[in-house]
Amino acid sequence: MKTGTIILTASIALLCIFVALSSLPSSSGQNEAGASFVSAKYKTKVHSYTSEVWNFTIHNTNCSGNSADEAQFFLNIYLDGSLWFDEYNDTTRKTWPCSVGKTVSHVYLKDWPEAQPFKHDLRVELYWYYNGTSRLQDTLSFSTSVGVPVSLQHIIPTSYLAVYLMACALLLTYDYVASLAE
Amino acid sequence: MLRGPEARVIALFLLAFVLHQAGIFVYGNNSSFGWFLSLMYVAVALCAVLFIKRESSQFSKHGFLLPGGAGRYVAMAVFFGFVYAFIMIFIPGAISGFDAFPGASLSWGTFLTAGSILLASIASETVFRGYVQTELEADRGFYVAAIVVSALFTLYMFPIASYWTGSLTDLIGALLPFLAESAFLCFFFKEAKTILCPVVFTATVGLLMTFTPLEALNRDYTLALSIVTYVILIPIMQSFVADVGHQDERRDDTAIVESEDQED
Repeated sequence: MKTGTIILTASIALLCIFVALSSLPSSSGQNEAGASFVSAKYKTKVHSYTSEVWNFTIHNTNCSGNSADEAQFFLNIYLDGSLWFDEYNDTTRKTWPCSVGKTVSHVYLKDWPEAQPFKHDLRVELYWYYNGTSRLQDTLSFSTSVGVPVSLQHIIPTSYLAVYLMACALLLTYDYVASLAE
Repeated sequence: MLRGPEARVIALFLLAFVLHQAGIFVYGNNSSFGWFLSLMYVAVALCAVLFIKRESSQFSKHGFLLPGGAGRYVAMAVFFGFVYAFIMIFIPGAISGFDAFPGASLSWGTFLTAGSILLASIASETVFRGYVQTELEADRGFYVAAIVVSALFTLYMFPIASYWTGSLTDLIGALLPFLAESAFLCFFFKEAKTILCPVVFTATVGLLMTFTPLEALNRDYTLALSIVTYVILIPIMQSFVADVGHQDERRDDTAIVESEDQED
């Protein structure tokens, strides 16, 4: 193999990696001069009988506060398009502080009392609270599939079991018929 | 200093390894970067094609061929994919119960995921069966090739960045199913002589395991079950492929006799 080909291939690969890594921040990009989500830890699959933990990390780029540059923030969480959690109105602390240039993490818990498997779409909005007004800084969207415990006799596993067995039977029949035809 | 096939194999492996791990790392940190992982799969497959083209230009020697009775080969690979997924999903689930999740919807994301699984199968099989196994088997024999390919395949497949904090016992336990899978695929490629079978098998397993919305509640023994399943499937697969192969040989003999008759 020519050295030129290897160098060309490696260059293309490194370029792809650079392009991807340079655009890693996952949030919506509405944060030109404020605060933004740095990371969000959540599970795409959860169980109906356990609590899910969401860990959101926020960076304050240059949102100022009333004192000591300590700005106040809160989150709104929308579940399937409806407001499910309004931190400002639903909690006693209302807001939490984050100084300019600092990063803070906040943990939220959610129970999923589902009777059927369901996929939920979530949107998290980060607000900066300043002088009695709330200003949207960043949004984050993700989906979570909630699983429910079922036995083999339940309709869902039984139907998939039937599909698997039928597929195997059809493939074996095809193989047998094809061998006879040859 | 390594020369010849070994040097080329290591060069291609390192290239594929870096590209794949970069894809897994980026996708693992941000699930909206599925396109990047797919791009890495395409790059891995293209690297293997470039290596084959530069070395021999004989793609058929590396398994890029459509054998006689291709339909039966595909059906067989899909069948073994179904059998493996069936055992991995329904046996642990029948014992401990299932977690049922919502089924996949017909969305753009579903097609992207399916496409990514297909690309992943093509990329890994082009590199490890198409190039690495063919090169090493010609030089060192099948069993040495299978051991080396399986070790390299395990390193390639394993998400190193996300497992860095795991214990050594967990690490070894998680690596063994990849070794068993690779051993099965090496035998499959050796018997069928086309990468069509390993590609279709891995794609079928990937699609079924991803889109069957059922998980066993207790998955403590799934790693051991995976290894045992692959070990059991090897001789069964060999007998199936031998049957198709005999049909192929008979068809070839008939074709030769017919052509000789025409010459007479």
